[in-house]
Amino acid sequence: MSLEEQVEVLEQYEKYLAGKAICATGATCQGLAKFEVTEEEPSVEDAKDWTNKKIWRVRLRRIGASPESDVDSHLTLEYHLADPPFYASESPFDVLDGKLADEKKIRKLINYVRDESKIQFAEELAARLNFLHEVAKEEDPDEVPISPESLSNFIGFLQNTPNLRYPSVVLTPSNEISAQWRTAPNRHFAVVFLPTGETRFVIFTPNPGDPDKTDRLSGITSVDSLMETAQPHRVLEWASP
Amino acid sequence: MRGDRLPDQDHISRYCRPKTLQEDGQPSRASFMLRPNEEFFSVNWLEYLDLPDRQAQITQVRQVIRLTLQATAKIAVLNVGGILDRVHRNSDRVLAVLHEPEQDDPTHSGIHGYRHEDDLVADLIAEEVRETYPAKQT
Repeated sequence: MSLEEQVEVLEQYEKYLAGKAICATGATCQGLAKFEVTEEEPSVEDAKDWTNKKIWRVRLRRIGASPESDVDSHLTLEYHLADPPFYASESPFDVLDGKLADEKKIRKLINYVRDESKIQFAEELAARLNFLHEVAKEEDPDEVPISPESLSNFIGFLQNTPNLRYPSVVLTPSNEISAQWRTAPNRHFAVVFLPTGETRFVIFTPNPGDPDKTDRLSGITSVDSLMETAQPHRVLEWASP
Repeated sequence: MRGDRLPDQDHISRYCRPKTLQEDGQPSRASFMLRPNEEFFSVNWLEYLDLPDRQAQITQVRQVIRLTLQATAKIAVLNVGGILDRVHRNSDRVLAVLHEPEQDDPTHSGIHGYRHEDDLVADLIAEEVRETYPAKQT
């Protein structure tokens, strides 16, 4: 299928979603074509490099169109795990489906940490993530307890940075992962892993010229560049075992 | 009166959710982060209660917090002047702690002058925690 044809089917599907929304308000909608959508996620187990793009296959099948004919289409989309969903929907059932999907992703990621990751403190970390997952759910059952994208970026960072010791992990008010390596008021490295693949970091470190003074700095960088940005401030002196 | 500055020598408390507590149960930086849509950081002004001691103040604060108190949550106590001074000395932010009374919570106040992404400020505030108490009476 050519790219133009793929785009056309996608546009038709978006029109269908819009039409469906109008029908929900009571309009007559005879002849509205229907689509079946199936998605195949990249499996967490197969993901060697968490920062790489993942392939998602989205299959759209238009049925009951006028004139009556089924049109098969096949789209292959590429995007980061951290990207937002491919399309949005406002049906309460879709919202529920979204929550269940997020819940499944969180479970999968925590299980991955415990059973398959090469993180040195995998078991301890998985237990901590499970605890945070449970208390966040208890606190607000209507929210996604942990941002799956933030969690995925955090795990990817730990996998790619094996020389770190076990951090103090908490959740921000937006349910993103905040990790901290701190051994003294002037040896502090703290990071919020954002769903977008970026990180907000804070470093407190002794001033190189006058160790009695403390340098305090903060910034935003991609998860891929975090250690490259932080290491000139000697964070591994206290963040590694 | 709404908008009045709290005296530097006074104290404020904050309900810290379990998901923001460190494994040792102490408040973390996340306990002092704002949500993206929040204009200021909500706290309770303890001296406003005019009670004889901290325990009495905390008991009263437990009653005015409009949240379901989770068993492992904590209430952190901080000194107003300590926060303002630490943040002023170590960042480019100048904070203010202002009285924001509400009908059912006359102690309600707010730390103004930082935003949800100002993690450095949240770190500095977390360093000013003086005391912690269980959010639920034991």
